[in-house]
Amino acid sequence: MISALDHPLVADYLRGLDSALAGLPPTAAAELSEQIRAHLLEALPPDADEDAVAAVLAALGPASLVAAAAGVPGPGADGGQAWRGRPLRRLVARARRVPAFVWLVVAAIVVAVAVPSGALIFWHAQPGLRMEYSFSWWNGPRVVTTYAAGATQETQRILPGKVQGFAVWVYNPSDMTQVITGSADHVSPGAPVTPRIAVSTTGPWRKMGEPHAVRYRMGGPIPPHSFRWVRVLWRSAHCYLAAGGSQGTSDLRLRVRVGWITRTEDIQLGAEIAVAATKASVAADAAYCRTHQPGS
Amino acid sequence: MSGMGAAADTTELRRGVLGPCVLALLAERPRFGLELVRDLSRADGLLTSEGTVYPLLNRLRDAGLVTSRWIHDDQTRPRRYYSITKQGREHLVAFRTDWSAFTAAVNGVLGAGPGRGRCSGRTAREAT
Repeated sequence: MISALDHPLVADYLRGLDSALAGLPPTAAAELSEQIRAHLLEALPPDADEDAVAAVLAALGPASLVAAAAGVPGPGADGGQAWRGRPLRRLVARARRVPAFVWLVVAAIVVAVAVPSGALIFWHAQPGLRMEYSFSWWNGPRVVTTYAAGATQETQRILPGKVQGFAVWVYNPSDMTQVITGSADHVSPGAPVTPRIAVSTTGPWRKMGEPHAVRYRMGGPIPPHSFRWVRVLWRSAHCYLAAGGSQGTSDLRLRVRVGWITRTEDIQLGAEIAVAATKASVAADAAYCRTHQPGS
Repeated sequence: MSGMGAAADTTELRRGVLGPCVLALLAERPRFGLELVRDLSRADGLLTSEGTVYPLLNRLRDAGLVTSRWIHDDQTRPRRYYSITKQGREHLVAFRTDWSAFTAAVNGVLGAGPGRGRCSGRTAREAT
Protein backbone atom coordinates (compact mmCIF):
# COMPACT_ATOMS: atom_id res chain seq x y z
CA MET A 1 0.00 0.00 0.00
CA ILE A 2 1.49 3.36 -1.06
CA SER A 3 -0.36 5.70 1.31
CA ALA A 4 -3.35 5.86 3.58
CA LEU A 5 -5.36 7.21 0.65
CA ASP A 6 -5.07 3.80 -0.99
CA HIS A 7 -6.87 2.05 1.84
CA PRO A 8 -10.17 0.73 0.49
CA LEU A 9 -12.22 2.50 3.17
CA VAL A 10 -10.44 5.78 2.52
CA ALA A 11 -10.70 5.43 -1.25
CA ASP A 12 -14.40 4.74 -0.90
CA TYR A 13 -14.84 7.76 1.34
CA LEU A 14 -12.98 10.02 -1.09
CA ARG A 15 -15.08 8.84 -4.01
CA GLY A 16 -18.18 9.71 -2.06
CA LEU A 17 -16.69 13.05 -1.11
CA ASP A 18 -15.84 13.98 -4.70
CA SER A 19 -19.34 13.05 -5.73
CA ALA A 20 -20.86 15.06 -2.90
CA LEU A 21 -18.75 18.09 -3.81
CA ALA A 22 -20.04 18.08 -7.38
CA GLY A 23 -22.37 20.92 -6.48
CA LEU A 24 -19.48 23.28 -5.69
CA PRO A 25 -17.55 25.43 -8.13
CA PRO A 26 -14.61 23.40 -9.46
CA THR A 27 -11.90 25.34 -7.66
CA ALA A 28 -13.73 25.20 -4.33
CA ALA A 29 -14.39 21.47 -4.69
CA ALA A 30 -10.78 20.78 -5.62
CA GLU A 31 -9.48 22.79 -2.68
CA LEU A 32 -11.72 21.07 -0.15
CA SER A 33 -10.90 17.67 -1.57
CA GLU A 34 -7.21 18.47 -1.25
CA GLN A 35 -7.68 19.60 2.37
CA ILE A 36 -9.47 16.39 3.33
CA ARG A 37 -6.82 14.29 1.61
CA ALA A 38 -4.07 16.16 3.46
CA HIS A 39 -5.96 15.61 6.72
CA LEU A 40 -6.14 11.87 6.07
CA LEU A 41 -2.48 11.65 5.14
CA GLU A 42 -1.57 13.41 8.37
CA ALA A 43 -3.96 11.42 10.51
CA LEU A 44 -3.24 7.95 9.15
CA PRO A 45 0.06 6.14 8.74
CA PRO A 46 0.38 4.14 5.51
CA ASP A 47 -0.03 0.89 7.40
CA ALA A 48 -3.04 1.96 9.46
CA ASP A 49 -5.32 -0.90 10.35
CA GLU A 50 -8.99 -1.00 9.55
CA ASP A 51 -10.12 0.15 13.00
CA ALA A 52 -7.84 3.18 12.91
CA VAL A 53 -9.04 4.11 9.44
CA ALA A 54 -12.66 3.70 10.44
CA ALA A 55 -12.15 5.87 13.52
CA VAL A 56 -10.51 8.70 11.54
CA LEU A 57 -13.22 8.60 8.90
CA ALA A 58 -15.93 8.60 11.56
CA ALA A 59 -14.35 11.64 13.17
CA LEU A 60 -14.25 13.42 9.84
CA GLY A 61 -17.97 12.92 9.46
CA PRO A 62 -20.01 11.81 6.45
CA ALA A 63 -18.90 13.18 3.11
CA SER A 64 -22.35 14.63 2.59
CA LEU A 65 -22.02 16.57 5.85
CA VAL A 66 -18.66 17.99 4.78
CA ALA A 67 -20.20 18.98 1.45
CA ALA A 68 -23.16 20.55 3.20
CA ALA A 69 -20.81 22.57 5.42
CA ALA A 70 -19.18 23.82 2.23
CA GLY A 71 -22.49 25.09 0.98
CA VAL A 72 -23.67 22.18 -1.11
CA PRO A 73 -27.34 21.43 -0.42
CA GLY A 74 -27.30 18.12 1.34
CA PRO A 75 -28.82 16.01 4.08
CA GLY A 76 -30.23 18.33 6.65
CA ALA A 77 -33.48 18.74 8.44
CA ASP A 78 -35.30 17.15 5.53
CA GLY A 79 -33.14 14.05 5.62
CA GLY A 80 -31.71 14.87 2.25
CA GLN A 81 -34.99 14.54 0.39
CA ALA A 82 -34.67 17.92 -1.27
CA TRP A 83 -31.13 17.16 -2.37
CA ARG A 84 -32.05 13.81 -3.84
CA GLY A 85 -34.91 15.46 -5.68
CA ARG A 86 -32.67 17.80 -7.63
CA PRO A 87 -30.94 15.65 -10.25
CA LEU A 88 -30.99 18.53 -12.72
CA ARG A 89 -29.19 20.77 -10.27
CA ARG A 90 -26.56 18.11 -9.69
CA LEU A 91 -26.20 17.65 -13.41
CA VAL A 92 -25.71 21.37 -13.91
CA ALA A 93 -23.22 21.45 -11.07
CA ARG A 94 -21.23 18.62 -12.63
CA ALA A 95 -21.38 20.32 -16.00
CA ARG A 96 -19.85 23.41 -14.45
CA ARG A 97 -16.83 21.38 -13.48
CA VAL A 98 -16.04 20.60 -17.09
CA PRO A 99 -13.41 23.04 -18.39
CA ALA A 100 -14.65 25.71 -20.76
CA PHE A 101 -12.45 24.54 -23.64
CA VAL A 102 -14.11 21.11 -23.49
CA TRP A 103 -17.49 22.77 -23.90
CA LEU A 104 -16.10 24.80 -26.78
CA VAL A 105 -14.89 21.63 -28.49
CA VAL A 106 -18.24 19.93 -27.86
CA ALA A 107 -20.07 22.98 -29.17
CA ALA A 108 -17.88 23.06 -32.28
CA ILE A 109 -18.56 19.37 -32.94
CA VAL A 110 -22.28 19.86 -32.43
CA VAL A 111 -22.30 22.82 -34.80
CA ALA A 112 -20.15 20.99 -37.34
CA VAL A 113 -22.39 17.92 -37.31
CA ALA A 114 -25.85 19.12 -36.37
CA VAL A 115 -26.13 22.18 -38.57
CA PRO A 116 -25.21 20.46 -41.86
CA SER A 117 -27.28 17.41 -40.88
CA GLY A 118 -30.26 19.58 -40.02
CA ALA A 119 -29.90 21.50 -43.27
CA LEU A 120 -29.67 18.28 -45.30
CA ILE A 121 -32.75 16.86 -43.60
CA PHE A 122 -34.62 20.13 -44.11
CA TRP A 123 -33.70 20.31 -47.80
CA HIS A 124 -34.57 16.68 -48.45
CA ALA A 125 -37.88 17.13 -46.66
CA GLN A 126 -38.99 19.89 -49.02
CA PRO A 127 -41.82 18.69 -51.31
CA GLY A 128 -41.00 18.40 -54.98
CA LEU A 129 -42.22 20.44 -57.92
CA ARG A 130 -45.52 19.52 -59.53
CA MET A 131 -47.38 20.36 -62.68
CA GLU A 132 -50.44 22.52 -62.27
CA TYR A 133 -53.29 23.42 -64.57
CA SER A 134 -51.74 24.14 -67.93
CA PHE A 135 -49.90 22.41 -70.76
CA SER A 136 -49.03 23.84 -74.15
CA TRP A 137 -47.13 22.57 -77.12
CA TRP A 138 -44.32 24.92 -77.95
CA ASN A 139 -44.87 24.97 -81.69
CA GLY A 140 -45.78 22.77 -84.56
CA PRO A 141 -48.74 21.35 -86.30
CA ARG A 142 -52.17 20.33 -85.13
CA VAL A 143 -52.47 18.41 -81.92
CA VAL A 144 -54.60 15.36 -81.49
CA THR A 145 -55.97 14.56 -78.08
CA THR A 146 -57.11 11.02 -77.48
CA TYR A 147 -58.61 9.30 -74.45
CA ALA A 148 -58.26 5.58 -73.95
CA ALA A 149 -58.56 3.37 -70.90
CA GLY A 150 -58.75 6.45 -68.67
CA ALA A 151 -55.54 7.90 -70.04
CA THR A 152 -55.05 10.99 -72.14
CA GLN A 153 -52.56 11.34 -74.93
CA GLU A 154 -51.56 14.62 -76.52
CA THR A 155 -50.03 13.82 -79.85
CA GLN A 156 -48.28 16.06 -82.32
CA ARG A 157 -46.77 15.10 -85.65
CA ILE A 158 -43.03 14.74 -85.52
CA LEU A 159 -41.03 17.36 -87.38
CA PRO A 160 -37.59 15.91 -88.03
CA GLY A 161 -34.85 18.50 -87.81
CA LYS A 162 -37.16 21.01 -86.18
CA VAL A 163 -37.29 22.19 -82.60
CA GLN A 164 -40.34 20.80 -80.88
CA GLY A 165 -41.42 20.72 -77.29
CA PHE A 166 -43.93 21.87 -74.79
CA ALA A 167 -44.36 24.11 -71.78
CA VAL A 168 -46.13 23.32 -68.54
CA TRP A 169 -47.05 25.25 -65.43
CA VAL A 170 -44.96 24.04 -62.57
CA TYR A 171 -45.69 24.91 -58.98
CA ASN A 172 -43.09 24.95 -56.20
CA PRO A 173 -44.99 23.97 -53.02
CA SER A 174 -41.90 24.08 -50.80
CA ASP A 175 -40.49 26.78 -48.54
CA MET A 176 -37.28 27.00 -50.54
CA THR A 177 -36.37 28.19 -53.99
CA GLN A 178 -35.88 25.22 -56.31
CA VAL A 179 -33.57 25.60 -59.27
CA ILE A 180 -34.10 23.35 -62.29
CA THR A 181 -30.60 22.62 -63.51
CA GLY A 182 -31.57 20.29 -66.36
CA SER A 183 -33.21 17.09 -67.41
CA ALA A 184 -32.61 13.77 -65.71
CA ASP A 185 -33.70 11.98 -68.89
CA HIS A 186 -31.46 11.44 -71.85
CA VAL A 187 -34.28 10.83 -74.31
CA SER A 188 -36.88 13.28 -75.57
CA PRO A 189 -40.24 12.31 -77.04
CA GLY A 190 -39.03 13.28 -80.47
CA ALA A 191 -35.34 12.45 -80.36
CA PRO A 192 -32.72 10.34 -78.57
CA VAL A 193 -31.24 13.45 -77.00
CA THR A 194 -31.49 15.12 -73.63
CA PRO A 195 -34.19 17.79 -73.72
CA ARG A 196 -33.27 21.36 -72.89
CA ILE A 197 -35.12 22.72 -69.89
CA ALA A 198 -35.74 26.41 -69.26
CA VAL A 199 -37.80 28.24 -66.67
CA SER A 200 -39.75 31.44 -67.21
CA THR A 201 -38.42 34.43 -65.39
CA THR A 202 -41.91 35.53 -64.42
CA GLY A 203 -45.11 33.86 -63.34
CA PRO A 204 -47.32 32.21 -65.98
CA TRP A 205 -50.11 34.78 -65.56
CA ARG A 206 -48.07 37.43 -67.35
CA LYS A 207 -48.98 38.05 -70.98
CA MET A 208 -52.34 36.38 -70.64
CA GLY A 209 -50.79 33.02 -69.89
CA GLU A 210 -49.13 32.84 -73.27
CA PRO A 211 -45.96 30.73 -72.86
CA HIS A 212 -44.20 32.32 -75.82
CA ALA A 213 -44.65 35.83 -74.46
CA VAL A 214 -42.45 35.40 -71.41
CA ARG A 215 -38.69 35.10 -71.11
CA TYR A 216 -36.91 31.89 -70.18
CA ARG A 217 -33.68 31.08 -68.50
CA MET A 218 -31.74 27.84 -68.44
CA GLY A 219 -31.15 26.73 -64.85
CA GLY A 220 -33.88 29.06 -63.73
CA PRO A 221 -35.22 29.22 -60.19
CA ILE A 222 -38.78 28.76 -59.03
CA PRO A 223 -39.34 30.74 -55.83
CA PRO A 224 -41.20 29.17 -52.90
CA HIS A 225 -44.95 28.78 -53.43
CA SER A 226 -44.73 30.17 -56.94
CA PHE A 227 -45.68 29.14 -60.47
CA ARG A 228 -43.44 29.23 -63.50
CA TRP A 229 -43.61 28.03 -67.07
CA VAL A 230 -41.14 25.20 -67.60
CA ARG A 231 -40.22 24.81 -71.22
CA VAL A 232 -39.03 21.47 -72.61
CA LEU A 233 -37.44 21.56 -76.05
CA TRP A 234 -35.63 19.16 -78.28
CA ARG A 235 -34.72 18.96 -81.93
CA SER A 236 -36.72 16.07 -83.31
CA ALA A 237 -34.68 13.49 -85.10
CA HIS A 238 -36.37 10.17 -84.81
CA CYS A 239 -34.89 7.86 -87.33
CA TYR A 240 -36.64 4.62 -86.44
CA LEU A 241 -40.25 5.63 -85.87
CA ALA A 242 -42.43 3.73 -88.28
CA ALA A 243 -45.38 5.40 -89.94
CA GLY A 244 -48.32 5.39 -87.53
CA GLY A 245 -46.07 4.87 -84.55
CA SER A 246 -45.63 7.32 -81.69
CA GLN A 247 -43.32 7.94 -78.80
CA GLY A 248 -43.79 10.10 -75.76
CA THR A 249 -43.58 10.49 -72.04
CA SER A 250 -46.01 10.93 -69.19
CA ASP A 251 -43.58 12.43 -66.75
CA LEU A 252 -40.80 14.94 -66.66
CA ARG A 253 -37.72 13.93 -64.76
CA LEU A 254 -35.72 16.96 -63.70
CA ARG A 255 -32.52 17.64 -61.82
CA VAL A 256 -33.43 20.19 -59.18
CA ARG A 257 -31.19 22.02 -56.73
CA VAL A 258 -32.65 22.64 -53.27
CA GLY A 259 -30.28 24.47 -50.97
CA TRP A 260 -26.95 22.75 -51.47
CA ILE A 261 -28.33 19.45 -52.64
CA THR A 262 -29.36 18.43 -56.13
CA ARG A 263 -31.99 15.77 -56.50
CA THR A 264 -34.09 14.20 -59.21
CA GLU A 265 -37.76 15.15 -59.18
CA ASP A 266 -40.39 13.38 -61.23
CA ILE A 267 -43.19 15.66 -62.36
CA GLN A 268 -46.27 13.83 -63.55
CA LEU A 269 -47.66 15.47 -66.66
CA GLY A 270 -51.16 14.06 -66.34
CA ALA A 271 -51.12 12.92 -69.96
CA GLU A 272 -48.88 11.14 -72.41
CA ILE A 273 -47.03 13.79 -74.41
CA ALA A 274 -46.14 12.12 -77.66
CA VAL A 275 -45.03 12.71 -81.19
CA ALA A 276 -46.24 10.48 -83.97
CA ALA A 277 -44.89 9.60 -87.35
CA THR A 278 -46.70 9.67 -90.63
CA LYS A 279 -45.58 8.39 -93.99
CA ALA A 280 -44.44 11.89 -94.88
CA SER A 281 -42.62 12.45 -91.62
CA VAL A 282 -40.91 9.06 -91.85
CA ALA A 283 -39.63 9.94 -95.30
CA ALA A 284 -38.43 13.30 -94.08
CA ASP A 285 -36.96 11.69 -90.98
CA ALA A 286 -35.00 9.21 -93.05
CA ALA A 287 -33.60 12.00 -95.13
CA TYR A 288 -32.67 13.95 -92.00
CA CYS A 289 -30.98 10.92 -90.49
CA ARG A 290 -28.97 10.26 -93.61
CA THR A 291 -27.81 13.88 -93.49
CA HIS A 292 -27.05 14.30 -89.83
CA GLN A 293 -26.30 10.78 -88.64
CA PRO A 294 -24.33 9.11 -91.41
CA GLY A 295 -23.60 6.05 -89.34
CA SER A 296 -27.21 5.21 -88.69
CA MET B 1 -38.89 22.21 24.32
CA SER B 2 -38.28 18.64 23.18
CA GLY B 3 -34.92 16.94 23.39
CA MET B 4 -34.60 17.07 19.61
CA GLY B 5 -35.23 20.80 19.67
CA ALA B 6 -32.55 21.32 22.30
CA ALA B 7 -30.07 19.32 20.22
CA ALA B 8 -30.84 21.45 17.18
CA ASP B 9 -30.35 24.62 19.23
CA THR B 10 -27.00 23.33 20.46
CA THR B 11 -25.94 22.50 16.92
CA GLU B 12 -26.81 25.99 15.75
CA LEU B 13 -25.02 27.54 18.69
CA ARG B 14 -21.95 25.37 18.06
CA ARG B 15 -21.96 26.31 14.41
CA GLY B 16 -22.13 29.97 15.31
CA VAL B 17 -19.15 29.95 17.69
CA LEU B 18 -16.89 27.60 15.78
CA GLY B 19 -15.57 30.35 13.52
CA PRO B 20 -14.47 32.62 16.37
CA CYS B 21 -12.95 29.60 18.08
CA VAL B 22 -10.87 28.86 14.98
CA LEU B 23 -9.79 32.50 14.93
CA ALA B 24 -8.88 32.29 18.58
CA LEU B 25 -6.65 29.27 18.01
CA LEU B 26 -4.98 30.83 15.01
CA ALA B 27 -4.45 34.00 17.01
CA GLU B 28 -2.14 31.97 19.25
CA ARG B 29 -0.05 30.69 16.34
CA PRO B 30 -0.45 29.42 12.80
CA ARG B 31 -1.63 25.82 12.62
CA PHE B 32 -1.92 23.23 9.87
CA GLY B 33 -5.23 21.52 9.22
CA LEU B 34 -5.03 18.40 11.36
CA GLU B 35 -3.38 20.30 14.18
CA LEU B 36 -6.18 22.85 14.23
CA VAL B 37 -8.83 20.15 14.06
CA ARG B 38 -7.34 18.25 16.98
CA ASP B 39 -7.08 21.36 19.11
CA LEU B 40 -10.71 22.15 18.43
CA SER B 41 -11.66 18.56 19.23
CA ARG B 42 -10.16 18.91 22.68
CA ALA B 43 -12.86 21.41 23.51
CA ASP B 44 -15.49 18.88 24.43
CA GLY B 45 -18.65 19.06 22.36
CA LEU B 46 -17.48 21.89 20.14
CA LEU B 47 -16.68 19.81 17.10
CA THR B 48 -18.89 16.94 16.00
CA SER B 49 -17.45 16.42 12.51
CA GLU B 50 -13.81 17.25 11.91
CA GLY B 51 -14.37 17.49 8.17
CA THR B 52 -16.56 20.56 8.55
CA VAL B 53 -13.61 22.61 9.81
CA TYR B 54 -12.13 22.85 6.32
CA PRO B 55 -15.16 24.46 4.66
CA LEU B 56 -15.21 26.85 7.62
CA LEU B 57 -11.54 27.70 7.10
CA ASN B 58 -12.21 28.39 3.45
CA ARG B 59 -15.10 30.69 4.31
CA LEU B 60 -12.94 32.56 6.80
CA ARG B 61 -10.24 32.84 4.16
CA ASP B 62 -12.76 34.16 1.62
CA ALA B 63 -13.89 36.71 4.21
CA GLY B 64 -10.31 37.89 4.64
CA LEU B 65 -10.09 36.74 8.27
CA VAL B 66 -7.66 33.88 7.65
CA THR B 67 -4.86 33.30 5.22
CA SER B 68 -2.95 30.15 4.36
CA ARG B 69 0.39 29.18 2.92
CA TRP B 70 2.23 25.96 2.18
CA ILE B 71 5.33 25.19 4.20
CA HIS B 72 7.82 22.58 2.99
CA ASP B 73 10.56 21.16 5.15
CA ASP B 74 12.70 18.05 5.08
CA GLN B 75 11.16 16.45 8.14
CA THR B 76 7.48 16.36 7.27
CA ARG B 77 5.25 16.33 4.26
CA PRO B 78 4.28 19.74 2.82
CA ARG B 79 1.71 21.31 5.09
CA ARG B 80 -0.74 24.10 4.60
CA TYR B 81 -0.58 26.46 7.54
CA TYR B 82 -3.45 28.76 8.38
CA SER B 83 -2.89 32.17 9.99
CA ILE B 84 -5.18 34.86 11.26
CA THR B 85 -5.12 38.20 9.46
CA LYS B 86 -5.30 41.68 10.93
CA GLN B 87 -8.93 41.81 9.96
CA GLY B 88 -9.41 38.44 11.66
CA ARG B 89 -7.93 39.73 14.90
CA GLU B 90 -10.26 42.73 14.83
CA HIS B 91 -13.16 40.41 14.21
CA LEU B 92 -12.10 38.21 17.12
CA VAL B 93 -11.81 41.15 19.51
CA ALA B 94 -15.27 42.32 18.54
CA PHE B 95 -16.68 38.82 18.98
CA ARG B 96 -15.16 38.44 22.43
CA THR B 97 -16.80 41.64 23.54
CA ASP B 98 -20.15 40.59 22.16
CA TRP B 99 -19.78 37.06 23.49
CA SER B 100 -19.09 38.19 27.03
CA ALA B 101 -22.15 40.38 27.04
CA PHE B 102 -24.21 37.69 25.37
CA THR B 103 -23.26 34.85 27.72
CA ALA B 104 -23.75 37.09 30.74
CA ALA B 105 -27.22 37.95 29.53
CA VAL B 106 -28.11 34.35 28.74
CA ASN B 107 -26.73 33.08 32.03
CA GLY B 108 -28.68 35.74 33.82
CA VAL B 109 -31.88 34.56 32.21
CA LEU B 110 -31.08 30.90 32.76
CA GLY B 111 -30.16 31.54 36.38
CA ALA B 112 -26.78 29.87 36.05
CA GLY B 113 -24.83 32.91 37.03
CA PRO B 114 -21.94 34.39 35.14
CA GLY B 115 -19.99 31.79 33.18
CA ARG B 116 -17.35 31.40 30.59
CA GLY B 117 -17.83 30.18 27.07
CA ARG B 118 -15.82 27.29 25.83
CA CYS B 119 -13.74 29.51 23.61
CA SER B 120 -12.75 31.79 26.45
CA GLY B 121 -10.73 29.05 28.13
CA ARG B 122 -7.52 27.44 27.08
CA THR B 123 -8.10 27.64 23.40
CA ALA B 124 -9.14 31.27 23.26
CA ARG B 125 -6.02 32.98 24.47
CA GLU B 126 -4.58 35.36 22.02
CA ALA B 127 -0.90 35.21 21.38
CA THR B 128 -0.60 38.97 21.19
